[in-house]
Amino acid sequence: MSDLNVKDWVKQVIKQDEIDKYLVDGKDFIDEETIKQELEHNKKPDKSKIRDIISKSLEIKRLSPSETAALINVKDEELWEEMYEKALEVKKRVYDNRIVFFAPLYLSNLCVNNCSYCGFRTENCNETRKILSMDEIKKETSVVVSEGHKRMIAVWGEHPSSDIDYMVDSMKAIYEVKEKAPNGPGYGSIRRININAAPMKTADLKKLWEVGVGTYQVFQETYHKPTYRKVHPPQTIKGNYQWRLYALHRAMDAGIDDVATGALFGLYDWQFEVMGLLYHAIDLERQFGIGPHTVSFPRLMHAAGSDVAEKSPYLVSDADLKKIITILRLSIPYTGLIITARENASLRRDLIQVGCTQTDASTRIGIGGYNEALKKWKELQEESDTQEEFKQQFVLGDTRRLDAVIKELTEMGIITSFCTAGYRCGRTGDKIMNLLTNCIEGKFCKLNAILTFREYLEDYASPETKKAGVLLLEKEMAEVSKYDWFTKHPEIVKEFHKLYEKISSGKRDLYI
Amino acid sequence: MSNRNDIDLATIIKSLNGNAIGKMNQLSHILKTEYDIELNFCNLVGRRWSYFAGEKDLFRATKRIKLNNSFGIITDSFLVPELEEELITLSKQLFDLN
Repeated sequence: MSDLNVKDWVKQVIKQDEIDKYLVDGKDFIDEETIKQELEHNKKPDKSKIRDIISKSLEIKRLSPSETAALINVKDEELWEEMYEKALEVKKRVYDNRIVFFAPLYLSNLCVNNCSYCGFRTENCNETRKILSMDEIKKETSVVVSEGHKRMIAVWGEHPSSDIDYMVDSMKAIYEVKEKAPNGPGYGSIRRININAAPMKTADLKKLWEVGVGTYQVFQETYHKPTYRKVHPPQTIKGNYQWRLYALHRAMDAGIDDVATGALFGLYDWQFEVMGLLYHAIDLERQFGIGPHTVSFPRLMHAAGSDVAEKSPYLVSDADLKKIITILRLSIPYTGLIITARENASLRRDLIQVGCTQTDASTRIGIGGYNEALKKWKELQEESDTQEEFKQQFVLGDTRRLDAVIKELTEMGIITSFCTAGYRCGRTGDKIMNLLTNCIEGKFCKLNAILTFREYLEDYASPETKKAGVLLLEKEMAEVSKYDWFTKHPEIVKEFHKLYEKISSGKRDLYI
Repeated sequence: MSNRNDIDLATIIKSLNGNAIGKMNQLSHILKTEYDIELNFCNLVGRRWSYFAGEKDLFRATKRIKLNNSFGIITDSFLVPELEEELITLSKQLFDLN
């Protein structure tokens, strides 16, 4: 925790030289006129052009801005149905048939910024402010791992009380937690911590690197500069558009090779934001050879103390969200796409089918929310919506527990994964980019999904989920026996079977 | 493809040039193309084994060998012990760990 008072702390955050080094001729990579022209010039794409573009996506090649603009402008609903189908095909080629699960953990809602759409904003007097102690962090993590989660995303407000040293300590505290599993011989622990945090200077990012961070996520919120200025007061840290825009560039320079982008859809025109996300991916590739590990697309929702969601003319409908995800999947085929519990259950079911790769469940986003939920879960012996609006950044659409969501996906034929293999096996940075675009990484996704799903079924699953899960595992194992790629690489299949046997006999945290 | 038992790592090492990363990339390339042995070099941070150098399309190798708390290699699990030991010694030299 910093010794500086808030005002002095705020003053020392932004380093102009750590923005300027990434500019080209003094400009950043978002040019509003260029984006608007791309969208305009591709206003009426014909079907054959769109099908050519989709073919390029199926080759796992990132699209150009002009190609993405063409997809954005598709009006033909039949063509959209084709695109939805192809988006899922692209996802399966790159990531196979699995969805990775994680849990968010909000550690503090103290914030120096005043973003007009956010429940955490400093002027929101109704928000109950809290920052978790290390003991409280461990207690929250205990609840999360007791559900069966192995992956977490840690979230903090931007404040000297939750500075880099607090973040590093939090992550160490999270990693220390180990809980016996309720059903089987395994134990619950977090194997990968991703973080959603404020932009930082390179020296602080190196500290994150040294503690072994997974993915570093910074959402630009909106790429449209006039809107950005409107919703982020200029005298705040977050008011500096370019400081935020180049957060991930600095992370790459600090050695963090898994970075993630996102936009808050609903602040401005979604078509523009999709183009912004694409240009962001392009610039990361250009400067570092590595695009975003994941892209997120949260929608602007009601937040306590803010009426921005109620007044925005750019709110995104369910139908448009499906289009956004489809376009992102086709445009940046190698990237992971995260759909969260912000969205309701039935919509999530639909959106997973157009190419999402990660989601969350048992989610509680109040500070201390998991232990609050645990009390209710124990009292009521059933699921309950235990949201507390004035302790949360926004309101969730789906509060179901992990087992229920896993059972649903299993019945849809989608295997759950808690994989953390890639970053522990040297499949990172430009190496994993290579493996993703060549559709090799997806083979490991399948194998590690089987291994981690088996662990979950043994240690945490309800009898109903286990019954459905065993059938799905059989199907996945059969695919490993007969897919061409696996028959050509028997040494990998042999290693996989060895690990599977060990997990079946009670060993845990084995990966390939 | 040459026989793995005939590898003369000492001669291969002498043929490498450039900086450490360049040498690692060259070594990884030679081992793969001439002997079908996979070798990647990694930075270790916490649980993370971050790709550092070596051929980028390798995926068969699954044996992780820690050289020290900061560096490691990933190689094939079928190597004879003597060859594996030689690769470890060589890798430590390339990382300047001796």
